[in-house]
Amino acid sequence: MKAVDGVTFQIGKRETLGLIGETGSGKSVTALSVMRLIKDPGRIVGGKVMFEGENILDKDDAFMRGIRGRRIAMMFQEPTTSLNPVFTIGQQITDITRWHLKMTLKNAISDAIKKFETVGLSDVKRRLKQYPHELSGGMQQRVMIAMGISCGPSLLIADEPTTSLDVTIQSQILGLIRELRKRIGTSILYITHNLGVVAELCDRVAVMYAGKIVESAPVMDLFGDPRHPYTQGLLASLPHYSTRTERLRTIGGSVPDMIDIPSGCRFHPRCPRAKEICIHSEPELLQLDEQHILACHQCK
Amino acid sequence: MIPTDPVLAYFGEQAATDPATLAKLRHELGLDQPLYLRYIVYLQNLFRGNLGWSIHTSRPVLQDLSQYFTATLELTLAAMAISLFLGVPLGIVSAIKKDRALDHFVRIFSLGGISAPIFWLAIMLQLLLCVRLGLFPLGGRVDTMIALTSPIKHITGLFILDSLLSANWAAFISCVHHLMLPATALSYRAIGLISRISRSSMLDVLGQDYVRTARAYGLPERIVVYVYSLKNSMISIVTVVGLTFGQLLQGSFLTEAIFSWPGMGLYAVKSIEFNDYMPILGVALVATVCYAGFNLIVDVLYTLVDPRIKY
Amino acid sequence: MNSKIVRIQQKMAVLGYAAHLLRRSPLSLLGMVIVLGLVLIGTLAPLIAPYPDVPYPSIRLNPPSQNHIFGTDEMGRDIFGRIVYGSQVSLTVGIIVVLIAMSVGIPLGLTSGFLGGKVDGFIMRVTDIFLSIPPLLLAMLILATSGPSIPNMMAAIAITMWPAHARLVRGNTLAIKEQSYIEAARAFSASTTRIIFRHILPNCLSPIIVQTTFDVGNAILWASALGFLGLGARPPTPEWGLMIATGRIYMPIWWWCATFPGIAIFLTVLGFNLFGDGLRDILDPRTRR
Repeated sequence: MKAVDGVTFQIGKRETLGLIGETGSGKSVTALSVMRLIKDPGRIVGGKVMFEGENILDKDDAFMRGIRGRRIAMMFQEPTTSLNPVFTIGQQITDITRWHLKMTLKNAISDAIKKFETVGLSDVKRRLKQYPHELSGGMQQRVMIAMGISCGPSLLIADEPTTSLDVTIQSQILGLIRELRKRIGTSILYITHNLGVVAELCDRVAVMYAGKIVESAPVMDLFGDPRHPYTQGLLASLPHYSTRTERLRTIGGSVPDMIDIPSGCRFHPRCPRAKEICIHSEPELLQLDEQHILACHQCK
Repeated sequence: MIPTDPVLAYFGEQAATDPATLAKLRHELGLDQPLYLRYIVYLQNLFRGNLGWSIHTSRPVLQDLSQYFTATLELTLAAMAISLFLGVPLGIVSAIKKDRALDHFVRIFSLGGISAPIFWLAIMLQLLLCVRLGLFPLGGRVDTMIALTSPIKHITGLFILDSLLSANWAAFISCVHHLMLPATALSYRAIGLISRISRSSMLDVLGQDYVRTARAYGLPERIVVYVYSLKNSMISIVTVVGLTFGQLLQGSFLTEAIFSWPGMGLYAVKSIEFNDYMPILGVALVATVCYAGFNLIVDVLYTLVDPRIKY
Repeated sequence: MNSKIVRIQQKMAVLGYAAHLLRRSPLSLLGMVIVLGLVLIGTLAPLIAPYPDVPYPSIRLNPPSQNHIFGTDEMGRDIFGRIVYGSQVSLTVGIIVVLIAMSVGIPLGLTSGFLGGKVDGFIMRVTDIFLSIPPLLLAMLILATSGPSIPNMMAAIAITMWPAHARLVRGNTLAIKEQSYIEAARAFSASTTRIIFRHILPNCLSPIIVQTTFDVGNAILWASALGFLGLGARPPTPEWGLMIATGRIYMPIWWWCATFPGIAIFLTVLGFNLFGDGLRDILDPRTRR
């Protein structure tokens, strides 16, 4: 059973790529694969992950450990369970900087203070000695962001960082990310199922369905002129205040179980434009025009 | 109350022939009072430090207990040390090297520990190692010759400690030699329990999100496992340590008799044989108090290990 | 109609998966075999035992031989036969003890979790008291006062076991009670009994089954310990622990009297433990080890 089968995307320097998909589309697995954090019994069976010119799939464990947290950093969805409950947040962030950047304890602490201030935590000196459960969800996520940027990575992977937070905190965190991006200049892979966030934050977007990328374009192009039926369906289902009186549009059917994938184009059972060819052959990702990539038989 | 009349048990069949004497003896022993009165009397005596009279040793129960208590304490502490120093590492390593040869071995070994009846195991060990192979003494706490020639000075009542403190090397070696087999037999079940729970707790922790985070930040595996995960597992492991003490206390009732270890367990077993009521109550009391006390210590340990708990 | 077929299919799928897991774990399979074997031996005891359980003074303390594969005891009885008869005793004790513990513990746990408040507090205090005394000690005390016999022993062990069941059920009840689908059921004015039986109990079922399996094994273990101490079965009942106690006197020369009953206890409890481990792996994937 392949959770992800045929995903190709690129992120340029200082670029923010949004990866959209419903739950079960394989977005998180993709992110974990980039970091080579896939655990038994899962494995990466093929492909390449090019980072700064090198294929990191070929590298050994020691190399990966050097990269993780240092050049590529990942932030997870649930900050509450992602932080270790029996260590203070100060200990957790200084462990990272001391390991990767070989800082002394004193330097690591003052660096941690600076980082925590950057992410907007108050009363930082006291916070260093606090445990994760003493912080609110929003604060915990800020801590995760601080840990993520602590070593100045070139790529930040954010796996639905705001999904478990309420809306007001969400917008604060987004603002924080935007600010940090300007300051530090990292590339970001932002994984989410929230189209609104993507519109606000990302330069380009890739849409995933059932383990495959179906469309990828700059954000304005995707929202202005979506080509793939799935993307169109997603955008159409967004409530729009001018369509207040109509029923909410949905895409009929449900996401396929990865054990039992439809033949041919994976979206064909739910696609309003499906034809004979869609049932039998999988569409390839083709370059539509300069920036726009698409995988669909019906859209040329 | 007691199926066999303690009066008959004590005074023998002769008393049974004369009902009048029987009634008089019963009255003297206070056995003709209703149960609740006897209970109240017992509690009153308790406060005065009187735990009753042991029929089969002809001594106050309190005196018996103070003599036998330290022997059981020594055995239990030794077994506890063995269980912890073997059980915890075995469980943790078993979790880290899951599904490899060591893991399978530890799992089977622990399963044996919790399935085997302690008293039977003790008998088998005695048969094999004492009788057939002659490696260990059959029973007792110290060799009788040594006890006579270089008696142990009574400081704490724990022979091993006392002989160590008074530099009585002959006695020390003999005591250790005598302690090894009973402590091992007693600890097997506890080792099984501890290693199973350590393994289970460690596996649980290793699957948690925060371990994934630590790995995602490139921290070396040995720190992720031996510093982070270990501390998280400690919570469950401390629980188990508390439970183990109770198990060992119970186990002493089943092991001491076989190794003629003069502790509370043997005392209780003899009392059962003689239908001697008071000592059993006395032993139960002491055991419960120890158990409760130990659990209190465990609770305190919790606060040290888990920062989420506050008192 | 369609949903019924789907449900049957789902159940078949679950059974198939269970069988697959069992195959992957030969130890659990072994446990199941042992347990079933024990039940078989227990029910067919009179047919399997080669000699009746009566004294034959002329063949006292004979070593294991072709006629008596485990030898004879101090009364001339065939030890193998006694062990077979003993399986009846052990099985009965194990099953009844657990049934009592469940029938006391589960309702109390349900009540405690469901009603909450003062009732919950009270029941929890009671379980605390029982849990604060080591079980063997508690059983010993009960039997020392009430007199050793098999029924008393069963009651005593059951008394030490019910708190665990109550706690288990209470925990599950509390967890499920808070879930939103219970509120949904209430919104449809489902009656309390319906909620209990259709929602809460089925969710408690898996841990209860696992706990029960381990408990039967432990009950047999404690019963034999009490028998050994003279607080359980009385002679001449062929109870395994009792057999070890009497056989111990004849150690080390006539070693077979105490050895074989112990092996029987060991294998039996091992079987239940293995089976319990296997069941836990099947029924609760989250705790799969």
